[in-house]
Amino acid sequence: MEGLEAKGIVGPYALLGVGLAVRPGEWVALLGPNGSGKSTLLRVMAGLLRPRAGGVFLEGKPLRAYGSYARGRLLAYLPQGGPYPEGLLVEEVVRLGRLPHLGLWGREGREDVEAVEWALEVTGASRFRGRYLGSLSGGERQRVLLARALAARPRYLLLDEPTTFLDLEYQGGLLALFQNLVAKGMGILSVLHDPNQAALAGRVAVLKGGRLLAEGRPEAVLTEALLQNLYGPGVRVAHLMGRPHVYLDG
Amino acid sequence: MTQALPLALKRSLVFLWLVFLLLLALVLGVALGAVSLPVGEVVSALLGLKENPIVTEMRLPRVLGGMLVGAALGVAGASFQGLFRNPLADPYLMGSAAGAAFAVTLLAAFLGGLSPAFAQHAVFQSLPLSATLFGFFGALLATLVTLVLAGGAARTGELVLAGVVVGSVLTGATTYLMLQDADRVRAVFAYTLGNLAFLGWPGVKALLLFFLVAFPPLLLLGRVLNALQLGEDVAKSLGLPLEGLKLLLLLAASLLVAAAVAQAGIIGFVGLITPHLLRRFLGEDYRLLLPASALGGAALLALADLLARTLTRPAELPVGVVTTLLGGPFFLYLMWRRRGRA
Amino acid sequence: MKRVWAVLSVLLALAFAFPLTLTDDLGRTVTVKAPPKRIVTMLPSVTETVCALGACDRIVATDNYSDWPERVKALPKAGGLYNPNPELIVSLKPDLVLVSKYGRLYETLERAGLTVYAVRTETYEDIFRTTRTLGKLLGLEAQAERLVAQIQREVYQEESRAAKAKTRPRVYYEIDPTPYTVGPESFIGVLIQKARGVNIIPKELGLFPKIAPEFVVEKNPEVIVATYPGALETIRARPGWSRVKAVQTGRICVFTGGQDSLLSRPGPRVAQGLRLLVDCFHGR
Repeated sequence: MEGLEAKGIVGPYALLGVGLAVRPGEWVALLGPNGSGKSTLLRVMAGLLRPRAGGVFLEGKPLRAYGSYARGRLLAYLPQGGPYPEGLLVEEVVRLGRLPHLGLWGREGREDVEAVEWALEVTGASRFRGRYLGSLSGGERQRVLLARALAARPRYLLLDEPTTFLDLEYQGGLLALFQNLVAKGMGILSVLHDPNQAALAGRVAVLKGGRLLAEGRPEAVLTEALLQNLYGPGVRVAHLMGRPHVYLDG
Repeated sequence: MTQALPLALKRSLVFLWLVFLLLLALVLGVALGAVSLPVGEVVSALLGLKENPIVTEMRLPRVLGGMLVGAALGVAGASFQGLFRNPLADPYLMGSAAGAAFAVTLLAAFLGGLSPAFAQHAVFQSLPLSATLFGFFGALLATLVTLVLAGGAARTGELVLAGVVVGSVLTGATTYLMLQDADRVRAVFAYTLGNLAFLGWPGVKALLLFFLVAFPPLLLLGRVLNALQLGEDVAKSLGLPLEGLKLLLLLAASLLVAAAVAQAGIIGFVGLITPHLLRRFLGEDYRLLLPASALGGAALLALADLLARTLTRPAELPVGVVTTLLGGPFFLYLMWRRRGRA
Repeated sequence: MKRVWAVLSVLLALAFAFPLTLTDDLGRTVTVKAPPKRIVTMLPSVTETVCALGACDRIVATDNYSDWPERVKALPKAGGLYNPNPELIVSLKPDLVLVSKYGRLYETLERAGLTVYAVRTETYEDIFRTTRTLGKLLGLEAQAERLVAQIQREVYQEESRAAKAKTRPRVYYEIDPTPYTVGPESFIGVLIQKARGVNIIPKELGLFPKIAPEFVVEKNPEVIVATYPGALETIRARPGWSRVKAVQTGRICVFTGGQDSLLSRPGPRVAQGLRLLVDCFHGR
């Protein structure tokens, strides 16, 4: 069975039995209030945390059965927030993304250079490739970190709130990029805090209190009842061009 | 690409500068000293035309040994800072130097019976290798205790606090051991302030050996240190076998600290200041920062020792006093500038 | 009858001498009401002087380092300059405490109501000045004059022995292996001069300078004196020092285990220290 799949994940922290899968060519948005266990689930699926029960499977094989570099070539993980290597050049940061292919002692070949160029290009980060990461704005920095994750050319991309710090224009660009990558066969699982962004994904999974509350196509999941359950009674949903739009009733 | 070229040039210039400073320190270090020697005499002694033990047996090994001590401290400082992602992690503040000093003194106390402060000098001169190995375990143990007390390396405040506590306790224990020898307080101070006065060829050989063992692996792990700056989760997600690599980094850096402490006592600030200073010019790419810290630390300590032995000549200042008097204010200046910018 | 007169005259003298008010070496005014009977000495050289004055039985405690004469070793030890034990001192109820002018011990003891006299014994002259001062404080002035004369006579004997030597060797004196040495104006420096040695250290460097090793090698001393254990091996093994004449000819005198106290304490046994140096510089 193709895909990255979590089955019956219990613990660590808040998770109380969650199953979730992302398939190649699919963008899944993970939505939920603070403390619902979104980031924890993402780290479990990235192989960074070991659950107390349940397991994660990559292309049908237990994730644990993969070597660490093989796992790194298939899965790229972008955490929320820092630390940020402020004193590294943008290009250097992105080239670190090739480590799963190079290992400790490997030398960069043509394939590596091309992957780095591609990642800089699609994220729009090539403009500031020669600058220090610390000299960039929050949005520019986020693009560089995404480029780092993409540089491995992974089959699955695990992103924790990738749109934080981004201005509206670039948020749009990023979501378009996701759709583009998905069209080429990549599987993306992204934690998002904005339901309107989640509405652009192919599938939405909603987590609350360590359990999966709902999962399915955005228009089916993002109902007023569910969102009020998540965020309080002031939330309203309108439908524009067939897609749910969430706003607060003032 | 237009921006990358000047940057590469700038970085090359930094390395050229460092090499120049190192050569300057070497030339001045051999040419100057408590005794005024004509340049011709120094040159002919170096060429072996005319014997002069002051040049060939005393100044040259002292300058070269001082450089190796400085290089070891600079590299260890840069490695600790990268490994713990903490700009204040250095052999001095992490308690690792104090751990090495305590272990070396303990060894000396066992060998020398009632007179550790003096057996220690015998240890340096006759057993430089085992002293370093013993100090190595002391440095390692002290660093681990510091990390446990601090609950990891992430929180700067806790790390510094734990390091200072561990360092003080161990320095106190070292002082206690040394004071078993009646009232030789000065010898204790000499050790805790660093002393390069009797660094000879055996010491230089021991330093070189340990440097050649510990430095190449660190240099090869520069990219790993870079990846660590993205956080441990990301470094792990990139496939790096992090636990083993961190241990390797810690071992190599501790070996450098121990080699330096066993030959020269505790010399503060070189490990802290050198990488900090170089970061301003080179950024935080550890593949550049590590070799630059070796060159910079070497030049810095050799020049500091030159000051220590010429400022009040023919009397000497403890070299640790010079590095602290130069490094302390410089560090405060860096902090002040950073605050000014923020 | 004669004896009665003698006793009477002493009592008379005491009656006029006490209460005695003196200015100590910190410039403090100290009043002693009667000749002290319970003394604590916190300096080894002062302990030696008090005993040489014949008042050893009045001492009730000393500092940790006082070890001469033999009988003071059994007395309670009240710490050192850096770690004194004021509680012990107070509990012994002394009527006079003799302390070093360094340290703040006197403040604590004064607050406890004790009579404290601060002494400086650093130079050769301090030996005689301190002996006379202690003579006054203890009511033993005649004994003090006799002791001064005796020390001077012994020193003169050693000096005239040294004067017979044809040469004056260049001397390097090492007090610890860092290396710290002694300047010509220090107490030991004066003894080196009296023993007709020439200290290689210039007086501009002060009393106890940390010296550059290459300076010592350059000055090429004919005799090296060191006062710490293991000095012989340490000095021989130093880089470049095999060229030093004293090392080549084996003229390295190491004084430890009590002999070093003879050289470092400006006290009544100074002539014995001087004799060590004269023997070392010129042979027996």
